[in-house]
Amino acid sequence: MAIDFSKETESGSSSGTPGTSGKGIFSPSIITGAVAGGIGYLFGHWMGNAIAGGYPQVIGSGQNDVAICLGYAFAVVGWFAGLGALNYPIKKMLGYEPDFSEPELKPGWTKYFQYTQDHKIVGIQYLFGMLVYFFTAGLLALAIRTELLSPTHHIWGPSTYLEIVGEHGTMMMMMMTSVVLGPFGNFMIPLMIGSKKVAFPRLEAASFWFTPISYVILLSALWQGGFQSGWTSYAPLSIQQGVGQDAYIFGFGLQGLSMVCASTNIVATIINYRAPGMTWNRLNIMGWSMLSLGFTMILSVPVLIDGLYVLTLDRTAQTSMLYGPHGGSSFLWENLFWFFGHPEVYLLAIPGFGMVAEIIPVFARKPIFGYKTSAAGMIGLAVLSFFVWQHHLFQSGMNPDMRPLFMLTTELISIPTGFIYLVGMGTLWKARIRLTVPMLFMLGVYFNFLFGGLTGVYVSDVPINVTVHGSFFVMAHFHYTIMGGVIFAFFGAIYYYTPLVTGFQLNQKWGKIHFWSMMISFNSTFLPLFAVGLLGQPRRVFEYAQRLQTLNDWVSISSYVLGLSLTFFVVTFLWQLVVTRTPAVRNPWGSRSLEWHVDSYPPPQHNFKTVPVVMAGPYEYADLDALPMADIVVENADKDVVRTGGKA
Amino acid sequence: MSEITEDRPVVDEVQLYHEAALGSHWWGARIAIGLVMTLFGGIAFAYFYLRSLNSHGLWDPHGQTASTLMGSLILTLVLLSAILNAYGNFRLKKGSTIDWQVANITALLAGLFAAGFQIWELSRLNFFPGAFGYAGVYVAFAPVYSGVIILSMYWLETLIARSLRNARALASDGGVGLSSSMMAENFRSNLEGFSYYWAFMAIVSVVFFVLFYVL
Repeated sequence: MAIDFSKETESGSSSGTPGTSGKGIFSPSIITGAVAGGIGYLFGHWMGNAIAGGYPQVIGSGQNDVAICLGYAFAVVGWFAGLGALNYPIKKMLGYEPDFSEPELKPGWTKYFQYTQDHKIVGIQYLFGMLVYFFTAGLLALAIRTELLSPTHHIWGPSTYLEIVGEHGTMMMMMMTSVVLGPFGNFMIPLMIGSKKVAFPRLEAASFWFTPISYVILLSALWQGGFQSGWTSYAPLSIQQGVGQDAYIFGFGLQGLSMVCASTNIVATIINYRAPGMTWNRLNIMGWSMLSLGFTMILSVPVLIDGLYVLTLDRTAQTSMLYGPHGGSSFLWENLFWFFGHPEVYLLAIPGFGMVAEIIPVFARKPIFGYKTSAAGMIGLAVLSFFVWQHHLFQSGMNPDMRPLFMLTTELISIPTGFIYLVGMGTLWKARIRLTVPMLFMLGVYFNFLFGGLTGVYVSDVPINVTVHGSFFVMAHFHYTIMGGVIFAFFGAIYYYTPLVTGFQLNQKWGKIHFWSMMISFNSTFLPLFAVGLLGQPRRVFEYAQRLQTLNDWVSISSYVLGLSLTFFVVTFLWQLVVTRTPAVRNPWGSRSLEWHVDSYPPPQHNFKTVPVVMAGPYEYADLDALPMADIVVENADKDVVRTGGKA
Repeated sequence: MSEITEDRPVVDEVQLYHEAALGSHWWGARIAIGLVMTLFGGIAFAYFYLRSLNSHGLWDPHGQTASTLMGSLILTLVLLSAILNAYGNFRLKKGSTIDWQVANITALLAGLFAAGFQIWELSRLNFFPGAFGYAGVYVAFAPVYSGVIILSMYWLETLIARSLRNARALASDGGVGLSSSMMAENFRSNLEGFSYYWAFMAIVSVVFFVLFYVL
């Protein structure tokens, strides 16, 4: 179910079965998970000290990475055991049949803190989880901008500054991989394809529950000395770092496992659980984007895990794979990291594009222009994303003959990207656009991505890359593509789907205030950074030339306005969900897509009363003779207010 | 969309989701293959990258390898496990559940012994982990390899446990290999997925045996 603050009236099972609420403090929940995770950490730490406490390098440095790593590993096991996630795998070892039933959920809010098989609850858990990630990393960004207010007067030391930069970058990049897939992919995809179930609900749940412990571990780096190696953590600096680097390794690694679990489920669900009549030609563009995303994650994330594992071994088992004088090479890390890292950029962009293409036809009241081109563009992006990673190493001393090849592949990727962009423009062309808040955010994506995408073409060229490498120009480029793209799509999707997810309508006026303040302050923050970069200011350095102070101050003040805009969103969003609670009307945007044609908002636990039979595509808005998308049974179809519970 | 049209096709929901679950087994196994392929692909990349760089002439200056005898034993056990699994499946299709169970319990034990020997070998290497490039990559490979084998054996164990628990219930319908019940179909599709995946892991084992013990 979705967000439901109503008083609990039914007693839950005491069996502790995941997905139900049990009685007593020992029933699986986030509390038992945290306690078991803490015990696991202490046990692992003790074991690590017992194993490696006598090693000369541990005695000499006073730093036992083995103890820290084992502590984290056992903390994860304890966390999942405490959540009740291991009950089912143990039952399977005893030969019990797979349990396909979904336990009935009781009303109330406790289910949002449990390991549950309901894809809609997982979606909401992800939504709030990702917002926590985003705002934590956002606060760190403000700390960076505060330091850069002056080129000479410092708030943080250089080391602390690098800790903050590294923590901000890593947290944002980890969060962005799941910011659309997690909340909207998990919640919407089964509804969009007309399914009552997902393929692997326990994997889906596990994918979310990796994220809180990943967040805690990563954040803990701040009071363990941080990791000055930044989010890319190049060797050999990352080998020489303190234990904060171990937090980076485990935080990022756990997020990788989360991505693997989520993508496995979403791919298998889309392929196997589509309703009768839901042919590939009728699949929502969002579905295509999730499919492309899923395959890209499956084939790239294990390489990241390899890289992190290699780094861990160099730090703990004293291997020398990243250390040249003993037969290794620091470039091994760079290659393993970027083989994941560059597809990752498209892991962020593809779902953002999917979300935009999903929403704009609704407000343009036109079929999506070039449906197949859009789907092909996403697949093309996913495939080509594996062939560009070396453009991050143009300055590394790589074989110069390889540069043109990777320059070419990087430029080639602008073709499928252009497909997707032009599909959007074609859809908007001569449309009677309704400028609602979600639509404004989607238009904002196109505006911002124009800057990010075009500068990307320049940056891919070796001569310019050599000039601007490591400068604020590159930083502005990727903030335009990622924050200007996927984060704007994320917020647009929140405004678009909140009526469905919560049963409450968000205020359009407040939403427009949020949009315009965010749009203006975002551009005011990042557009000058292109100039700052071209004028020579490097990233990750806390001092800069005096002549750049005016621009930097402008950027910092703009970033505070951006922070205020996002704070305004948080306050108004929570206010409307908890206090004003304006009931949503049925299908408020007039969408054809299946997810809106459910009995109530939030959708009932099993989504549909009967399995829908799909008869037409989701975007046939201009065709007056078009069949409804599905033959579907909807209760209370003639009533406006459909929310069950709350003030409705 | 509020009413059912008269000519609406009848959807058998139970059958629909049963077939979806079978399809998920198929895809789940292929995804698992994709995951282990890229996981081991990263290690193979490290092997070839460091070997071709040969930094400071320290890829493998003395031609040292881990024990070839142990490596051969581990490979033999993994191959034996995969062959026994395939043979068991062949017997299952003929209706012999007992043969399948015996073959796969043996396959399970072979796999577990392979993982155990791999861990044992890791603890008795004749070089230090950081001594040279080969040493580091081997030390990276061995725990991943044994870990993946153990997880694979967990999967096989759940299948064996299911077949044992349901043997009596399905005996009258031809056993788990021939029964047309949904439970049996679900079991067989899960088993098929495992066998496909485990055959792939056998190929991975051969490739890495060549890399670490032959080349």
